[in-house]
Amino acid sequence: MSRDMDTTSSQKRQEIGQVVSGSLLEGLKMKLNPENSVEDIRAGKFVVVQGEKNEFFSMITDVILETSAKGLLENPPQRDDALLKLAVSGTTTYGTVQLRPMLMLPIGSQEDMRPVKTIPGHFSLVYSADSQDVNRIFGDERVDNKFFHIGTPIDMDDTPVCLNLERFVERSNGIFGKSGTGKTFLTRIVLCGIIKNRKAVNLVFDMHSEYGWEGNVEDTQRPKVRGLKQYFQDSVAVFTLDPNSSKRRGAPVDFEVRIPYSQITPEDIVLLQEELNLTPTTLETCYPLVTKFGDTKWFNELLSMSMEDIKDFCAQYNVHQRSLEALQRKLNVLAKSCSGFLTKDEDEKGTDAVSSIISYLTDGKHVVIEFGQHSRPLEYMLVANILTRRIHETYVRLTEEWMGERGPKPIPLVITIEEAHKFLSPALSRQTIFGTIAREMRKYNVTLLVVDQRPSGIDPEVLSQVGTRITCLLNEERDIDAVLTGVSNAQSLRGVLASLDSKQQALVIGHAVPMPVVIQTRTYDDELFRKSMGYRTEPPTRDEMEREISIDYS
Amino acid sequence: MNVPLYIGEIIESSTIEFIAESRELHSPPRFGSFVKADLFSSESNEQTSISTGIEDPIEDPFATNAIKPSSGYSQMQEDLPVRISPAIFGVVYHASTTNTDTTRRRAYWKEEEQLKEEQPELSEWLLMTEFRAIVVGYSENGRIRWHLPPHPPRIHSFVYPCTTDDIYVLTSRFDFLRTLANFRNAPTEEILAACIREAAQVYEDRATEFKAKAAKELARLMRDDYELLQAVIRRFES
Repeated sequence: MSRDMDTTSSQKRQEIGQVVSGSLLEGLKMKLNPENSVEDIRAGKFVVVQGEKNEFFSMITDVILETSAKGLLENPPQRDDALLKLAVSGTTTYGTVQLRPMLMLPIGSQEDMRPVKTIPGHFSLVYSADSQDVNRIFGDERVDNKFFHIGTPIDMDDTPVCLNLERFVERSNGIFGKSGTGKTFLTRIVLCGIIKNRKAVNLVFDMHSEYGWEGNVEDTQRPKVRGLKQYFQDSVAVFTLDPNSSKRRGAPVDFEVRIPYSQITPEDIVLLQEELNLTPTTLETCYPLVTKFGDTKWFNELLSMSMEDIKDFCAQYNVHQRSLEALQRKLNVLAKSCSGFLTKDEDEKGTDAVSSIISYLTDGKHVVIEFGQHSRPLEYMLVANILTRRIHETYVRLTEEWMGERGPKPIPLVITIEEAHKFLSPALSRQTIFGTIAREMRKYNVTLLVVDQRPSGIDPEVLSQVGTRITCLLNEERDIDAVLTGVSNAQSLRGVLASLDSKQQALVIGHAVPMPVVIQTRTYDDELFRKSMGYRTEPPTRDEMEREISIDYS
Repeated sequence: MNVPLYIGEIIESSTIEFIAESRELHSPPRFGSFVKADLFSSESNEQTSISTGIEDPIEDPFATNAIKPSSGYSQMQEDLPVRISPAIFGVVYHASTTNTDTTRRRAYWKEEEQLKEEQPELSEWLLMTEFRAIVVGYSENGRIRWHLPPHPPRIHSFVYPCTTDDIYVLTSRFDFLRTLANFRNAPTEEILAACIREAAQVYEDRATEFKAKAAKELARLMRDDYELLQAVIRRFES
């Protein structure tokens, strides 16, 4: 599509300055045209530098005030020197803007964007990008359903920035931002995109019961927003650990989750060591128990041990008695505090939550697990870990069958976890299933969508594997550093990240977007969003899902 | 009113400036105002001048010019004149009245009227008002050039005030400011400010805009001398 053929773009390129210096490593310096006010230039704005042979798609990373006049700064114009002020502004005092070229493309070429390997010459003109530039880089959801509109660039209200969902689900992803910056809304938007465009199945560990039926808004005047279940009735199943809470909220529930003691493994307890305040020695005593009673019975057996049993056991297995007693005490606390969903009964196998979740997922249905009142980290982590471990095992099996040509390709699975730093802290990430998933990436078709407000708490090794990072405002230096781990040009993006609005703005970096971009995120659950999601009456059949996904992935 | 247009006659001429005797005693053109002198074509050595054939021109020879004073400033830059009479343009930077007879260069201690009665030869013959103008450009073949003419104006040719149209065209570019700023025979800030004040009058209600543009140009010219810039701008801003 040639530039002049496009009639839909309402934002035209506008000249804002010219390149005066720069380097490939440091980025470009642009002198702002005198008629443009520095205040109109926002960090994160998307601009195009027209070189002699190439166009460079760049992001504004810094705005600087400069002067070429000697003595002016020592003796600046006074309040009533209006004309003097006017005279020097734009001439000897001017704004320069730091640009970071992200992609380049030969002028007139229809090829794909290339990484930047050179820079434009002196005095190349710089333009603010137009809609067509944005579409060319980020794709157009009207053209291909792998693209999904998640927001608009800064200062361009009617041009969608799209996420490439196919690339998005290939890797683990992160949505970061401090509390109250709209992480949950952004997550809902992304989940809606994945569901609507059928790029993967979702398993959402919904800590605060915000995704399934309806979600809260901070402004109490406004109505609650619809959850995934309301948007995609039949293709989303809501599981709950706390049916009473669901009932109170009037949220329909498809399934109650009960987890028998037999599902708990020492690994789950390792994850909880901090929450339960367990010492390493105490933790180690789990293993002799497993040796003696087996994987499925140890937990139950430990809880029912008497003092005598403990003494005998310690003597037999050379275990420190105090440790075993401590373990029993702490796990008793665990069993009690999780009594809402942990069950002793082994005969509830017919309603085994894990197998029904897996069967939903392999049917192409999305599962949201609500925690209701059981939203303490202890409970959340235990359940998420137990379920994910089993699901991951299943996926490994399915994928291996597929590789051996003995089964269909499993539908990619995206697991959404909140408070991710609790699972993925440097101390735990090697021991929990989430660390494994984050590292294994797409090998087994299971990826994570990590939602977190303290990215600095996440193991750097895991963070470096995160494909796409959608980051709302972060203030803490360490969090900013963490989010930018493994990103080239991190320094220039720092300023951009720190200058985001506190609501509805995010920096998107990584695998699913060709270049980093700051977006004004689209509004969740407004008229437009509802319309673009469409209320579907029929869920996609397994066949439909499979067809679409096998085409996309083969 | 049959007012003669010329205001002076050149008595000393050089490439960068000319000195003229004022037609009226005590009435030189205003400091900083624009004047023009005839341009003699170098090739034919013929005067293609403003006053050709007019002994004592009483009509404005520029009246036929296409430029309307009302046309906007920015518009001026786009459609520069295609027809403007050949002339050398200058800015008045100095004026003085002296006694040409140096032996009688003294005080008389009389009232002006009494002095006129008793010493009529003073005002009629001996006293002379002269002014000096720095050349800021010329016009040839209907086009304005903002640089020095190939030849200085001829001695004893007449000097005229610039018309509104002339000033419009001349000031459509600010090259003359640089010439003035680099001129060392007059206080730079005074001549610059006076010239901008004079030119601004022509722009009437657009004077503020003109001054702002001039100020920006000055800022560029004087980026190394902020004190001077400040001095100039304060002299013409209100």
